[in-house]
Amino acid sequence: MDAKTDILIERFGFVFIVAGVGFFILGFIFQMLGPVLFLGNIPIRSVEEIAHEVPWQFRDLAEEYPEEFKRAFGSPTPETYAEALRLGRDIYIREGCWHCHSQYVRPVANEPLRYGPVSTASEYQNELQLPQLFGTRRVGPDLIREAGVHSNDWHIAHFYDPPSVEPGSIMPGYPWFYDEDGRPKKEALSIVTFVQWLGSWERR
Amino acid sequence: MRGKKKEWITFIMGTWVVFGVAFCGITFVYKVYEIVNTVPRGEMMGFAVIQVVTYLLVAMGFFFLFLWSFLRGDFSDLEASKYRILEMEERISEMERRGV
Amino acid sequence: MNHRGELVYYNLVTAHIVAGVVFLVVGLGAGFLYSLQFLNSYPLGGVEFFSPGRIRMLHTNAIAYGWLVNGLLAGIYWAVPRITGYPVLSRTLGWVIFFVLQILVLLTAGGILRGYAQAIEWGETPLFVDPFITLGLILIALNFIPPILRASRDAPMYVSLWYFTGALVWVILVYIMGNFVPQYYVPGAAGAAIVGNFIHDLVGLLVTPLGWGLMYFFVPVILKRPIWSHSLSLMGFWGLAFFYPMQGLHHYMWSPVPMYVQYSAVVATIAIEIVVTTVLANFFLTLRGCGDFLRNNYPIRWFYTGMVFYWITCLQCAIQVTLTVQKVIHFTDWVVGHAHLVMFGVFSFWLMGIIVELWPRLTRREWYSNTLHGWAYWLNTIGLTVMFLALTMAGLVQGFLWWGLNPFMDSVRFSIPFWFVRTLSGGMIIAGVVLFVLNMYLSLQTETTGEGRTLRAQTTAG
Repeated sequence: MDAKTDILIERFGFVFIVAGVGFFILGFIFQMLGPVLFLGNIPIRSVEEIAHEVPWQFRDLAEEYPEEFKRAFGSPTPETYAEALRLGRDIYIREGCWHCHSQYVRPVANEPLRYGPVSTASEYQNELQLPQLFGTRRVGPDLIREAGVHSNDWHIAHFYDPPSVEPGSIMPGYPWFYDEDGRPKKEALSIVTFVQWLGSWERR
Repeated sequence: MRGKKKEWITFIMGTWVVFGVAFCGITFVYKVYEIVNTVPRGEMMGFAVIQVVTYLLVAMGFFFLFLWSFLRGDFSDLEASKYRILEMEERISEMERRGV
Repeated sequence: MNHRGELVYYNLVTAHIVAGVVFLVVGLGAGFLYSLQFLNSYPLGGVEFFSPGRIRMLHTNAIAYGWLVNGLLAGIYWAVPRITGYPVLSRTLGWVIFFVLQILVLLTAGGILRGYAQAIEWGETPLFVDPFITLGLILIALNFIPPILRASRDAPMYVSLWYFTGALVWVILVYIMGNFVPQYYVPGAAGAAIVGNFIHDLVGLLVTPLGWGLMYFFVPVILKRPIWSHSLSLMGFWGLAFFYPMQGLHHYMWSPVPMYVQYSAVVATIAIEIVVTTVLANFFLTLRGCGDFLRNNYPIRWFYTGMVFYWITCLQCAIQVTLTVQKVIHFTDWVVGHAHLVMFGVFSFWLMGIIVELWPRLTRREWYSNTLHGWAYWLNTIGLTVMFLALTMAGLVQGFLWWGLNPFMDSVRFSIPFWFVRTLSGGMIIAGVVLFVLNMYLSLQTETTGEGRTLRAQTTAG
């Protein structure tokens, strides 16, 4: 190999390593910024926007558990509803609910018949899906069409001791959402509110 | 006898690899064909393009790294380094034996 | 090779191995505890800190960050200087990384139990830990890249070094991408695309390249014969680099993420099977003519058992990634079985093989008992196989029950026998690992052989 080719190879070698690293970084930036840029025209809804209309389940909680509700939230207004949704989602993450409950309906395997309409991308463009809660396993059923399937009372009892309302259930109970008398604390009211919100847009 | 057996093993391994690669290759081509058929229209297009462009960019990055490594001569004597590490290990082991 | 002082920092390797093994036992214990919930016999029910949901996250994170990262670091602290001929950048930095890593793992465990988990699979590390982990990963890269760069000037790089460099650089990018972007910027389906990439790339761009890199070093060195074809191994590396980044989305098949993107993930996943076939063929051709090692040499036996499991995993992967199979098995225990097969059956097996090889050389003692080795090996192998089969069958049962529109509770009731077998096999695995650790401990109690570090664990199977 003569000196000329050597120089050529050296120069091109340098160009290629710069290009290699550069493209890798460029791809990385693209992956990060790309979705933000391209999905910019689909608005990300904030919790306040979601909560501007208080659903009947939240008002029902205020009527069923007046004392506890008053202590936790006061009255069922859009502000307190937003607060309950936020806390509910935090509990959903904290307790690892998303490891056993998924949050999307697939268009296959008769899932539209079992759960309801197939999920679309626009349903997830909101602050409560930061990070997304698609889930990874269905030990329990999918929850994205859960709103209104069960009553508030059912949920309150279910979170305390799942097998009592769903015989054979292997879901763990969450007694620390409740006080000593078994009355729901703020946590229980919030997680019920959150679960009753999931898919409420499809029930209208 | 032994030579025959070795040939057989090579033959079976070779067939296995060839069939594996052929099978994967056909599946791969079929899936590429399916992709081309499913380019979405409308507002979803941008969303899809972003992923694929990212992938292509990352792949391009590796392609250039690959070319760099090629031009550096990593592929001129491909099998040398595998003997090198064994010699190195021998030397280090020798050193450790002396060091103890 | 012109250097003064130690080449390999033996104490660092030992420390990482010990820490890793401790977290392995903790992680397996957490997994076993969690599996009891599926039989409705969870012993700590009603205690907030030990809620099964949190224990599950403890299980995966202790294994991923506590055991695998520690074990792999031990491996590369041993392998990198020996391949390159240069020590790592700094011993002090090594100890800093060691302590920071243990503190971060403990913080993660505490944070998860306390309720600060983050909703990103394999990245449940609390948000306040994430920046430090990123920093730690950068420090690790800083420690290992210099000797590799120096060696690359001497001669063409050996395939292991390619793998190590790739892993150390990729994981930083992957970690930042997966932990911060979906948390703050990108919600919903677009976020899922990124999280999917993160889940799979943490396995594929950290654990897999480091694991294969170590195999490409330890297998030839123990067999005392070079790898069958170095060029084929390089093809494996470049194939991984080309096809891996796009695979991740196969975690969200049939989801609201556009089908176009899902198809690209299917293509990339099936393409990687070609690569895996070449790598596996390479290793089995290396073993050609010295199959006796499988019988006589424990490290090689662990390694090749892991490789067989790897092949099963990858074959399964090519099948299950297709949209047809996904209809049935998505969200079922099939996937859980797959994950256990790859995380325990492959990478943990390899790390245990590495420990079998290194522990006597690090402590300058013989293994206490080969019979215990035999028990550990067979308990783990049989336990894992049983667990894999049980979970795979459970997955098929669940998938078809859902498809058949049976009441949802049927899928729980019909799974309980499988879950029972799963818990039993988990017990077997724990027993195997405990015997392994016991053996490590008992070897420490024996006299030193005085033969030094070149000692080989040339063991005879019991």
